[in-house]
Amino acid sequence: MRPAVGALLSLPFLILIPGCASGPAEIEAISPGAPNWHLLRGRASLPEGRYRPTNCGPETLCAALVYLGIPATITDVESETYIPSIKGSVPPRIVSCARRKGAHARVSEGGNVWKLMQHIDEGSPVIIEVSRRGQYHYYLVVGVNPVERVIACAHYGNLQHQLPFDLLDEIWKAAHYRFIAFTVAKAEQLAQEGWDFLDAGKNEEAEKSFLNALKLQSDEGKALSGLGKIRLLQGKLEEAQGFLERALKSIPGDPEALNNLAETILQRKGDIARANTLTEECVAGQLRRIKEFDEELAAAPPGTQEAIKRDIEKARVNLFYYYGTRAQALEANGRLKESIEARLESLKYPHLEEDDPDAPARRHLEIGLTWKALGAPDKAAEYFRKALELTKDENFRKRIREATGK
Amino acid sequence: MMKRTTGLVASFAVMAVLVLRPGIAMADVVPARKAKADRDAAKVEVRLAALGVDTATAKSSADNLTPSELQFFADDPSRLQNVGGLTWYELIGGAAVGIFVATGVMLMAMHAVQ
Repeated sequence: MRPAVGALLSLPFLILIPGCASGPAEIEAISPGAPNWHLLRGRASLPEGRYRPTNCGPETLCAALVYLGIPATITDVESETYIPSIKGSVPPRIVSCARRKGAHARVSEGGNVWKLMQHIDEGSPVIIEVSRRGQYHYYLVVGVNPVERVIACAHYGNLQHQLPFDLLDEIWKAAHYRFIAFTVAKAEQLAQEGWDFLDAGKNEEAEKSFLNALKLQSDEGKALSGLGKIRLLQGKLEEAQGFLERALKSIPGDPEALNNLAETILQRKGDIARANTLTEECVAGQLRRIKEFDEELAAAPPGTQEAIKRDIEKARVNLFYYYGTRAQALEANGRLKESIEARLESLKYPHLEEDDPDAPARRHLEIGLTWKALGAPDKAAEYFRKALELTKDENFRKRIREATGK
Repeated sequence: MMKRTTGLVASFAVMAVLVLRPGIAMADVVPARKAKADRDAAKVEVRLAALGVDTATAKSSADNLTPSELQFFADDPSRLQNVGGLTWYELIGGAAVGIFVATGVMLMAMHAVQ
Protein backbone atom coordinates (compact mmCIF):
# COMPACT_ATOMS: atom_id res chain seq x y z
CA MET A 1 0.00 0.00 0.00
CA ARG A 2 1.32 3.43 -0.89
CA PRO A 3 1.93 5.86 2.05
CA ALA A 4 -0.65 8.32 0.72
CA VAL A 5 -3.33 5.65 0.83
CA GLY A 6 -2.49 4.78 4.44
CA ALA A 7 -2.71 8.44 5.44
CA LEU A 8 -6.07 8.81 3.70
CA LEU A 9 -7.41 5.68 5.42
CA SER A 10 -6.45 6.99 8.88
CA LEU A 11 -8.16 10.37 8.29
CA PRO A 12 -11.74 9.33 9.14
CA PHE A 13 -10.59 7.70 12.38
CA LEU A 14 -8.79 10.88 13.38
CA ILE A 15 -12.07 12.74 12.84
CA LEU A 16 -14.12 10.13 14.67
CA ILE A 17 -12.01 10.13 17.83
CA PRO A 18 -12.64 13.73 19.00
CA GLY A 19 -16.27 13.43 17.92
CA CYS A 20 -16.93 10.43 20.14
CA ALA A 21 -14.76 11.66 22.97
CA SER A 22 -16.89 14.79 23.37
CA GLY A 23 -20.21 12.90 23.41
CA PRO A 24 -21.78 10.80 26.15
CA ALA A 25 -20.28 7.40 26.93
CA GLU A 26 -22.25 4.28 26.10
CA ILE A 27 -22.31 1.84 29.01
CA GLU A 28 -23.88 -1.48 29.92
CA ALA A 29 -27.15 -1.05 31.86
CA ILE A 30 -26.45 -0.09 35.47
CA SER A 31 -27.65 -2.78 37.86
CA PRO A 32 -30.29 -1.64 40.38
CA GLY A 33 -28.12 -2.09 43.47
CA ALA A 34 -25.02 -0.37 42.02
CA PRO A 35 -23.28 1.65 44.75
CA ASN A 36 -23.54 5.45 44.85
CA TRP A 37 -26.31 5.56 42.25
CA HIS A 38 -29.68 7.27 42.72
CA LEU A 39 -31.74 5.37 40.14
CA LEU A 40 -35.37 5.30 39.10
CA ARG A 41 -36.79 2.01 40.29
CA GLY A 42 -37.34 -0.37 37.41
CA ARG A 43 -36.43 0.43 33.85
CA ALA A 44 -37.21 3.39 31.61
CA SER A 45 -36.52 2.21 28.07
CA LEU A 46 -36.49 4.31 24.92
CA PRO A 47 -38.81 2.88 22.28
CA GLU A 48 -37.66 2.99 18.68
CA GLY A 49 -39.83 5.29 16.64
CA ARG A 50 -40.31 5.95 12.97
CA TYR A 51 -38.38 9.19 12.81
CA ARG A 52 -35.11 8.16 14.40
CA PRO A 53 -32.68 9.87 14.94
CA THR A 54 -34.59 13.18 15.18
CA ASN A 55 -37.42 11.98 17.41
CA CYS A 56 -35.79 12.25 20.83
CA GLY A 57 -38.91 14.23 21.94
CA PRO A 58 -41.47 11.47 21.30
CA GLU A 59 -39.08 8.72 22.40
CA THR A 60 -38.18 10.28 25.74
CA LEU A 61 -41.80 11.30 26.41
CA CYS A 62 -43.09 7.82 25.58
CA ALA A 63 -40.46 6.25 27.85
CA ALA A 64 -41.40 8.63 30.69
CA LEU A 65 -45.14 7.92 30.32
CA VAL A 66 -44.68 4.16 30.18
CA TYR A 67 -42.37 4.36 33.18
CA LEU A 68 -45.16 6.12 35.12
CA GLY A 69 -47.55 3.31 34.20
CA ILE A 70 -49.47 5.36 31.63
CA PRO A 71 -50.26 3.36 28.48
CA ALA A 72 -48.56 4.98 25.48
CA THR A 73 -47.17 3.71 22.20
CA ILE A 74 -44.39 5.42 20.27
CA THR A 75 -46.61 5.57 17.16
CA ASP A 76 -49.27 7.41 19.11
CA VAL A 77 -46.84 9.78 20.83
CA GLU A 78 -45.00 10.50 17.58
CA SER A 79 -48.22 11.36 15.80
CA GLU A 80 -49.04 13.87 18.55
CA THR A 81 -45.64 15.41 19.10
CA TYR A 82 -43.38 14.96 16.10
CA ILE A 83 -43.53 17.65 13.42
CA PRO A 84 -42.14 16.19 10.18
CA SER A 85 -41.76 19.61 8.51
CA ILE A 86 -39.15 20.69 11.08
CA LYS A 87 -37.83 17.18 11.74
CA GLY A 88 -38.26 17.54 15.46
CA SER A 89 -40.69 18.45 18.18
CA VAL A 90 -41.36 21.51 20.32
CA PRO A 91 -41.94 21.62 24.10
CA PRO A 92 -45.64 22.69 23.93
CA ARG A 93 -46.53 19.49 22.10
CA ILE A 94 -44.62 17.38 24.61
CA VAL A 95 -46.42 19.06 27.54
CA SER A 96 -49.91 18.89 26.08
CA CYS A 97 -49.49 15.28 24.93
CA ALA A 98 -48.39 14.33 28.46
CA ARG A 99 -51.47 16.11 29.85
CA ARG A 100 -53.83 14.30 27.47
CA LYS A 101 -52.33 10.99 28.55
CA GLY A 102 -52.89 11.77 32.23
CA ALA A 103 -49.43 12.93 33.28
CA HIS A 104 -48.44 16.23 34.77
CA ALA A 105 -45.51 17.77 32.91
CA ARG A 106 -43.79 20.83 34.28
CA VAL A 107 -41.24 22.76 32.23
CA SER A 108 -38.71 24.72 34.28
CA GLU A 109 -35.39 26.43 33.91
CA GLY A 110 -32.49 26.52 36.34
CA GLY A 111 -32.14 22.79 36.87
CA ASN A 112 -29.10 21.17 38.48
CA VAL A 113 -27.94 17.69 39.40
CA TRP A 114 -29.37 17.97 42.90
CA LYS A 115 -32.83 18.74 41.50
CA LEU A 116 -32.46 15.80 39.12
CA MET A 117 -31.53 13.57 42.04
CA GLN A 118 -34.54 14.80 44.03
CA HIS A 119 -36.92 14.01 41.14
CA ILE A 120 -35.36 10.58 40.67
CA ASP A 121 -35.65 9.80 44.39
CA GLU A 122 -39.35 10.75 44.16
CA GLY A 123 -39.80 8.38 41.20
CA SER A 124 -40.34 11.20 38.71
CA PRO A 125 -38.61 10.84 35.33
CA VAL A 126 -37.04 14.02 33.96
CA ILE A 127 -36.25 15.07 30.42
CA ILE A 128 -33.38 17.53 30.13
CA GLU A 129 -32.96 19.76 27.10
CA VAL A 130 -29.36 20.11 26.02
CA SER A 131 -27.79 22.07 23.23
CA ARG A 132 -24.58 22.40 21.34
CA ARG A 133 -23.83 24.37 18.21
CA GLY A 134 -27.45 25.29 17.72
CA GLN A 135 -28.73 21.70 17.92
CA TYR A 136 -31.20 20.81 20.67
CA HIS A 137 -31.67 17.35 22.08
CA TYR A 138 -33.62 15.64 24.88
CA TYR A 139 -32.21 13.07 27.29
CA LEU A 140 -34.38 11.16 29.74
CA VAL A 141 -32.43 11.06 33.00
CA VAL A 142 -32.85 7.90 35.04
CA GLY A 143 -29.92 8.04 37.44
CA VAL A 144 -27.41 10.30 39.17
CA ASN A 145 -24.15 9.22 40.74
CA PRO A 146 -22.85 12.13 42.82
CA VAL A 147 -19.69 10.27 43.84
CA GLU A 148 -18.50 9.47 40.33
CA ARG A 149 -20.11 12.74 39.13
CA VAL A 150 -22.08 11.22 36.25
CA ILE A 151 -25.72 10.94 35.22
CA ALA A 152 -27.31 8.00 33.41
CA CYS A 153 -29.91 8.30 30.68
CA ALA A 154 -32.73 5.97 29.62
CA HIS A 155 -32.03 2.44 28.48
CA TYR A 156 -31.92 1.46 24.83
CA GLY A 157 -31.60 -2.25 24.62
CA ASN A 158 -29.13 -3.20 27.31
CA LEU A 159 -27.19 0.03 26.99
CA GLN A 160 -27.40 3.48 28.54
CA HIS A 161 -25.77 6.81 27.87
CA GLN A 162 -23.69 8.24 30.67
CA LEU A 163 -22.72 11.90 30.91
CA PRO A 164 -20.07 13.28 33.28
CA PHE A 165 -21.21 16.35 35.25
CA ASP A 166 -18.72 18.56 33.37
CA LEU A 167 -20.10 17.61 29.98
CA LEU A 168 -23.65 17.84 31.30
CA ASP A 169 -23.00 21.37 32.52
CA GLU A 170 -21.50 22.38 29.20
CA ILE A 171 -24.42 21.16 27.08
CA TRP A 172 -27.22 21.90 29.54
CA LYS A 173 -26.07 25.46 30.26
CA ALA A 174 -26.76 26.50 26.66
CA ALA A 175 -30.45 25.60 27.18
CA HIS A 176 -30.56 27.49 30.49
CA TYR A 177 -30.76 24.16 32.35
CA ARG A 178 -34.31 23.53 31.06
CA PHE A 179 -36.03 20.34 32.06
CA ILE A 180 -39.46 18.74 32.07
CA ALA A 181 -40.41 16.71 35.14
CA PHE A 182 -43.20 14.16 34.82
CA THR A 183 -45.51 12.79 37.46
CA VAL A 184 -48.85 11.02 37.36
CA ALA A 185 -51.30 13.92 37.63
CA LYS A 186 -52.70 14.33 41.14
CA ALA A 187 -56.20 15.65 41.84
CA GLU A 188 -54.81 18.89 43.24
CA GLN A 189 -52.64 19.49 40.16
CA LEU A 190 -55.58 18.83 37.83
CA ALA A 191 -57.73 21.26 39.80
CA GLN A 192 -54.99 23.91 39.59
CA GLU A 193 -54.69 23.30 35.86
CA GLY A 194 -58.48 23.67 35.58
CA TRP A 195 -58.36 27.07 37.29
CA ASP A 196 -55.55 28.08 35.00
CA PHE A 197 -57.77 27.32 31.99
CA LEU A 198 -60.83 28.90 33.60
CA ASP A 199 -58.97 32.12 34.37
CA ALA A 200 -58.24 32.45 30.66
CA GLY A 201 -61.85 31.74 29.68
CA LYS A 202 -61.10 28.23 28.33
CA ASN A 203 -64.11 26.78 30.08
CA GLU A 204 -64.31 23.48 28.19
CA GLU A 205 -60.70 22.57 28.96
CA ALA A 206 -61.22 23.72 32.54
CA GLU A 207 -64.26 21.50 32.97
CA LYS A 208 -62.32 18.47 31.67
CA SER A 209 -59.52 19.10 34.18
CA PHE A 210 -61.97 19.56 37.07
CA LEU A 211 -63.87 16.38 36.21
CA ASN A 212 -60.59 14.44 35.96
CA ALA A 213 -59.59 15.80 39.37
CA LEU A 214 -62.91 14.68 40.86
CA LYS A 215 -62.47 11.19 39.38
CA LEU A 216 -59.32 10.93 41.50
CA GLN A 217 -60.70 12.67 44.57
CA SER A 218 -64.43 13.31 44.77
CA ASP A 219 -64.13 16.04 47.42
CA GLU A 220 -61.31 18.05 45.80
CA GLY A 221 -62.40 21.52 46.87
CA LYS A 222 -60.80 23.61 44.13
CA ALA A 223 -62.23 21.35 41.42
CA LEU A 224 -65.73 21.57 42.95
CA SER A 225 -65.38 25.33 43.25
CA GLY A 226 -64.28 25.57 39.60
CA LEU A 227 -67.23 23.51 38.37
CA GLY A 228 -69.50 25.68 40.51
CA LYS A 229 -68.19 28.80 38.79
CA ILE A 230 -68.63 27.25 35.33
CA ARG A 231 -72.23 26.32 36.13
CA LEU A 232 -72.85 29.83 37.50
CA LEU A 233 -71.52 31.32 34.26
CA GLN A 234 -73.78 28.94 32.33
CA GLY A 235 -76.79 30.07 34.39
CA LYS A 236 -77.27 26.56 35.84
CA LEU A 237 -77.75 27.98 39.29
CA GLU A 238 -79.01 24.95 41.16
CA GLU A 239 -76.06 22.84 40.02
CA ALA A 240 -73.70 25.74 40.73
CA GLN A 241 -74.94 25.99 44.30
CA GLY A 242 -74.55 22.23 44.78
CA PHE A 243 -70.91 22.28 43.66
CA LEU A 244 -70.07 25.42 45.64
CA GLU A 245 -71.65 24.13 48.86
CA ARG A 246 -69.60 20.92 48.49
CA ALA A 247 -66.46 22.92 47.70
CA LEU A 248 -66.73 24.97 50.88
CA LYS A 249 -66.77 21.80 52.96
CA SER A 250 -63.24 21.07 51.67
CA ILE A 251 -61.95 24.63 51.38
CA PRO A 252 -63.84 26.61 54.01
CA GLY A 253 -63.14 30.32 53.83
CA ASP A 254 -61.95 30.27 50.21
CA PRO A 255 -62.86 33.78 48.98
CA GLU A 256 -63.58 32.80 45.37
CA ALA A 257 -65.94 29.97 46.38
CA LEU A 258 -67.64 32.24 48.95
CA ASN A 259 -68.13 35.01 46.39
CA ASN A 260 -69.55 32.69 43.76
CA LEU A 261 -71.88 30.96 46.23
CA ALA A 262 -73.17 34.34 47.43
CA GLU A 263 -73.67 35.45 43.82
CA THR A 264 -75.54 32.20 43.05
CA ILE A 265 -77.82 32.61 46.07
CA LEU A 266 -78.54 36.23 45.12
CA GLN A 267 -79.35 35.26 41.54
CA ARG A 268 -81.61 32.46 42.79
CA LYS A 269 -83.24 34.94 45.20
CA GLY A 270 -82.42 32.52 47.99
CA ASP A 271 -81.35 33.11 51.57
CA ILE A 272 -80.18 36.74 51.30
CA ALA A 273 -79.09 36.90 54.94
CA ARG A 274 -76.71 34.01 54.28
CA ALA A 275 -75.48 35.68 51.09
CA ASN A 276 -74.63 38.71 53.20
CA THR A 277 -72.61 36.62 55.67
CA LEU A 278 -70.82 34.83 52.85
CA THR A 279 -69.75 38.10 51.20
CA GLU A 280 -68.58 39.47 54.53
CA GLU A 281 -66.39 36.39 55.04
CA CYS A 282 -65.21 36.57 51.41
CA VAL A 283 -63.99 40.17 51.61
CA ALA A 284 -62.37 39.65 55.02
CA GLY A 285 -60.64 36.51 53.74
CA GLN A 286 -59.34 38.22 50.62
CA LEU A 287 -58.00 41.20 52.61
CA ARG A 288 -56.24 38.75 54.91
CA ARG A 289 -54.79 36.92 51.92
CA ILE A 290 -53.42 40.15 50.42
CA LYS A 291 -51.82 41.01 53.77
CA GLU A 292 -50.19 37.57 53.88
CA PHE A 293 -48.88 38.02 50.34
CA ASP A 294 -47.47 41.44 51.29
CA GLU A 295 -45.65 39.87 54.24
CA GLU A 296 -44.38 37.05 52.03
CA LEU A 297 -43.12 39.59 49.50
CA ALA A 298 -41.23 41.53 52.16
CA ALA A 299 -39.35 38.37 53.18
CA ALA A 300 -38.97 36.82 49.71
CA PRO A 301 -35.61 36.38 47.97
CA PRO A 302 -35.31 38.43 44.74
CA GLY A 303 -35.88 35.43 42.45
CA THR A 304 -39.37 34.73 43.77
CA GLN A 305 -40.62 38.30 44.13
CA GLU A 306 -42.12 38.60 40.65
CA ALA A 307 -44.41 35.60 41.17
CA ILE A 308 -45.63 36.98 44.51
CA LYS A 309 -46.23 40.40 42.95
CA ARG A 310 -48.37 38.73 40.28
CA ASP A 311 -50.35 36.92 43.01
CA ILE A 312 -50.91 40.19 44.85
CA GLU A 313 -52.08 41.96 41.71
CA LYS A 314 -54.48 39.13 40.92
CA ALA A 315 -55.84 39.10 44.48
CA ARG A 316 -56.39 42.88 44.39
CA VAL A 317 -58.26 42.68 41.08
CA ASN A 318 -60.47 39.91 42.45
CA LEU A 319 -61.28 42.09 45.43
CA PHE A 320 -62.78 44.72 43.11
CA TYR A 321 -65.40 42.12 42.16
CA TYR A 322 -65.82 40.62 45.64
CA TYR A 323 -66.73 44.07 46.98
CA GLY A 324 -69.29 44.28 44.16
CA THR A 325 -71.01 41.09 45.33
CA ARG A 326 -70.77 42.36 48.92
CA ALA A 327 -72.63 45.50 47.80
CA GLN A 328 -75.31 43.43 46.05
CA ALA A 329 -75.85 41.35 49.20
CA LEU A 330 -76.08 44.46 51.39
CA GLU A 331 -78.53 45.99 48.94
CA ALA A 332 -80.65 42.83 48.91
CA ASN A 333 -80.80 43.07 52.71
CA GLY A 334 -81.97 46.66 52.54
CA ARG A 335 -78.66 48.17 53.71
CA LEU A 336 -78.41 50.64 50.84
CA LYS A 337 -75.96 53.17 52.30
CA GLU A 338 -73.59 50.35 53.27
CA SER A 339 -73.87 48.98 49.75
CA ILE A 340 -72.67 52.35 48.44
CA GLU A 341 -69.71 52.20 50.83
CA ALA A 342 -68.85 48.69 49.60
CA ARG A 343 -68.97 49.90 45.98
CA LEU A 344 -66.77 52.88 46.79
CA GLU A 345 -64.36 50.49 48.50
CA SER A 346 -64.41 48.33 45.36
CA LEU A 347 -63.27 51.32 43.31
CA LYS A 348 -60.08 51.52 45.39
CA TYR A 349 -58.95 48.28 43.75
CA PRO A 350 -57.91 47.67 40.14
CA HIS A 351 -60.34 46.04 37.73
CA LEU A 352 -59.50 44.02 34.62
CA GLU A 353 -58.73 46.93 32.32
CA GLU A 354 -58.53 44.96 29.09
CA ASP A 355 -61.15 42.32 29.74
CA ASP A 356 -63.70 44.42 31.60
CA PRO A 357 -63.00 48.05 30.66
CA ASP A 358 -66.43 49.33 31.75
CA ALA A 359 -66.25 47.97 35.29
CA PRO A 360 -65.68 51.39 36.95
CA ALA A 361 -68.46 52.98 34.87
CA ARG A 362 -70.80 50.16 35.91
CA ARG A 363 -69.87 50.65 39.54
CA HIS A 364 -70.59 54.41 39.33
CA LEU A 365 -73.92 53.72 37.69
CA GLU A 366 -74.85 51.27 40.46
CA ILE A 367 -73.96 53.88 43.09
CA GLY A 368 -75.99 56.52 41.23
CA LEU A 369 -79.03 54.27 41.05
CA THR A 370 -78.76 53.53 44.76
CA TRP A 371 -78.58 57.25 45.60
CA LYS A 372 -81.58 57.79 43.36
CA ALA A 373 -83.51 55.11 45.25
CA LEU A 374 -82.50 56.77 48.49
CA GLY A 375 -84.05 60.01 47.28
CA ALA A 376 -80.79 61.89 46.67
CA PRO A 377 -81.07 63.01 43.00
CA ASP A 378 -78.06 65.39 43.12
CA LYS A 379 -75.71 62.69 44.32
CA ALA A 380 -77.26 60.26 41.85
CA ALA A 381 -76.69 62.73 38.99
CA GLU A 382 -73.04 63.15 40.01
CA TYR A 383 -72.42 59.38 39.73
CA PHE A 384 -74.40 59.07 36.51
CA ARG A 385 -72.23 61.80 35.02
CA LYS A 386 -69.07 59.99 36.15
CA ALA A 387 -70.40 56.73 34.72
CA LEU A 388 -70.93 58.43 31.36
CA GLU A 389 -67.42 59.91 31.48
CA LEU A 390 -65.82 56.57 32.34
CA THR A 391 -67.58 54.28 29.93
CA LYS A 392 -65.59 53.26 26.87
CA ASP A 393 -68.42 51.47 25.12
CA GLU A 394 -71.07 53.30 23.10
CA ASN A 395 -73.73 50.64 23.76
CA PHE A 396 -73.13 50.86 27.49
CA ARG A 397 -73.37 54.66 27.25
CA LYS A 398 -76.81 54.25 25.67
CA ARG A 399 -77.84 51.86 28.46
CA ILE A 400 -76.71 54.36 31.07
CA ARG A 401 -78.79 57.09 29.42
CA GLU A 402 -81.84 54.80 29.30
CA ALA A 403 -81.38 53.72 32.91
CA THR A 404 -81.03 57.29 34.15
CA GLY A 405 -83.80 58.65 31.98
CA LYS A 406 -81.48 60.96 30.02
CA MET B 1 -95.58 57.02 64.03
CA MET B 2 -92.47 58.77 62.72
CA LYS B 3 -90.46 55.57 62.99
CA ARG B 4 -93.16 53.66 61.14
CA THR B 5 -93.19 56.23 58.31
CA THR B 6 -89.38 56.13 58.07
CA GLY B 7 -89.52 52.34 57.96
CA LEU B 8 -92.11 52.39 55.20
CA VAL B 9 -90.05 54.86 53.16
CA ALA B 10 -86.95 52.73 53.58
CA SER B 11 -88.84 49.60 52.57
CA PHE B 12 -90.19 51.39 49.53
CA ALA B 13 -86.70 52.51 48.60
CA VAL B 14 -85.40 48.95 48.84
CA MET B 15 -88.30 47.69 46.75
CA ALA B 16 -87.61 50.39 44.19
CA VAL B 17 -83.98 49.31 43.97
CA LEU B 18 -84.73 45.59 43.89
CA VAL B 19 -87.80 45.55 41.68
CA LEU B 20 -87.82 48.65 39.54
CA ARG B 21 -84.09 49.01 39.03
CA PRO B 22 -83.09 48.53 35.40
CA GLY B 23 -81.04 45.44 34.67
CA ILE B 24 -77.68 47.17 34.61
CA ALA B 25 -75.94 45.66 37.60
CA MET B 26 -73.93 42.74 36.34
CA ALA B 27 -72.98 39.66 38.27
CA ASP B 28 -69.75 40.26 40.17
CA VAL B 29 -68.16 37.01 39.13
CA VAL B 30 -64.47 37.61 38.41
CA PRO B 31 -64.22 37.77 34.60
CA ALA B 32 -61.76 35.71 32.56
CA ARG B 33 -58.35 37.26 31.95
CA LYS B 34 -58.41 36.50 28.26
CA ALA B 35 -56.45 39.41 26.84
CA LYS B 36 -53.12 38.48 28.45
CA ALA B 37 -53.50 34.80 27.60
CA ASP B 38 -54.33 35.68 23.98
CA ARG B 39 -51.26 37.93 23.73
CA ASP B 40 -49.02 35.18 25.15
CA ALA B 41 -50.54 32.64 22.74
CA ALA B 42 -49.80 34.97 19.82
CA LYS B 43 -46.15 35.29 20.90
CA VAL B 44 -45.82 31.51 21.12
CA GLU B 45 -47.37 31.07 17.68
CA VAL B 46 -44.99 33.63 16.15
CA ARG B 47 -41.99 31.89 17.67
CA LEU B 48 -43.14 28.46 16.47
CA ALA B 49 -43.68 29.86 12.98
CA ALA B 50 -40.12 31.24 13.08
CA LEU B 51 -38.91 27.71 13.83
CA GLY B 52 -40.64 26.55 10.66
CA VAL B 53 -43.83 25.15 12.17
CA ASP B 54 -46.88 25.67 9.92
CA THR B 55 -49.59 28.09 11.07
CA ALA B 56 -52.23 25.48 11.93
CA THR B 57 -49.79 23.38 13.99
CA ALA B 58 -48.44 26.47 15.72
CA LYS B 59 -51.96 27.54 16.66
CA SER B 60 -53.01 24.14 17.96
CA SER B 61 -49.75 23.86 19.93
CA ALA B 62 -50.45 27.16 21.68
CA ASP B 63 -54.16 26.42 22.16
CA ASN B 64 -53.42 23.30 24.18
CA LEU B 65 -51.25 25.08 26.73
CA THR B 66 -52.51 26.50 29.99
CA PRO B 67 -52.10 30.27 30.50
CA SER B 68 -49.22 29.64 32.95
CA GLU B 69 -47.41 27.54 30.38
CA LEU B 70 -48.07 30.15 27.69
CA GLN B 71 -46.67 32.81 29.96
CA PHE B 72 -43.52 30.75 30.61
CA PHE B 73 -42.77 30.53 26.89
CA ALA B 74 -44.01 34.03 26.01
CA ASP B 75 -41.77 35.60 28.69
CA ASP B 76 -38.77 34.30 26.76
CA PRO B 77 -39.62 32.78 23.37
CA SER B 78 -36.10 31.35 23.04
CA ARG B 79 -37.33 28.70 25.48
CA LEU B 80 -39.05 27.25 22.44
CA GLN B 81 -36.61 25.32 20.28
CA ASN B 82 -36.87 22.65 17.66
CA VAL B 83 -35.72 19.72 19.73
CA GLY B 84 -34.63 16.64 17.89
CA GLY B 85 -32.14 17.96 15.43
CA LEU B 86 -29.13 15.68 15.29
CA THR B 87 -26.76 16.09 18.23
CA TRP B 88 -23.27 17.39 17.58
CA TYR B 89 -21.64 13.99 17.98
CA GLU B 90 -24.20 12.43 15.65
CA LEU B 91 -23.39 15.15 13.13
CA ILE B 92 -19.64 14.66 13.49
CA GLY B 93 -20.03 10.89 13.48
CA GLY B 94 -22.23 11.11 10.38
CA ALA B 95 -19.71 13.36 8.63
CA ALA B 96 -16.88 11.00 9.56
CA VAL B 97 -18.73 7.98 8.21
CA GLY B 98 -19.47 9.96 5.04
CA ILE B 99 -15.80 10.81 4.59
CA PHE B 100 -14.83 7.21 5.33
CA VAL B 101 -17.20 5.89 2.65
CA ALA B 102 -16.10 8.56 0.16
CA THR B 103 -12.45 7.72 0.82
CA GLY B 104 -13.13 4.03 0.27
CA VAL B 105 -14.89 4.74 -3.00
CA MET B 106 -12.01 7.00 -4.08
CA LEU B 107 -9.40 4.36 -3.23
CA MET B 108 -11.33 1.70 -5.10
CA ALA B 109 -11.60 4.01 -8.08
CA MET B 110 -7.83 4.72 -8.00
CA HIS B 111 -7.13 0.99 -7.72
CA ALA B 112 -9.39 0.26 -10.67
CA VAL B 113 -7.60 2.89 -12.80
CA GLN B 114 -4.20 1.30 -12.00
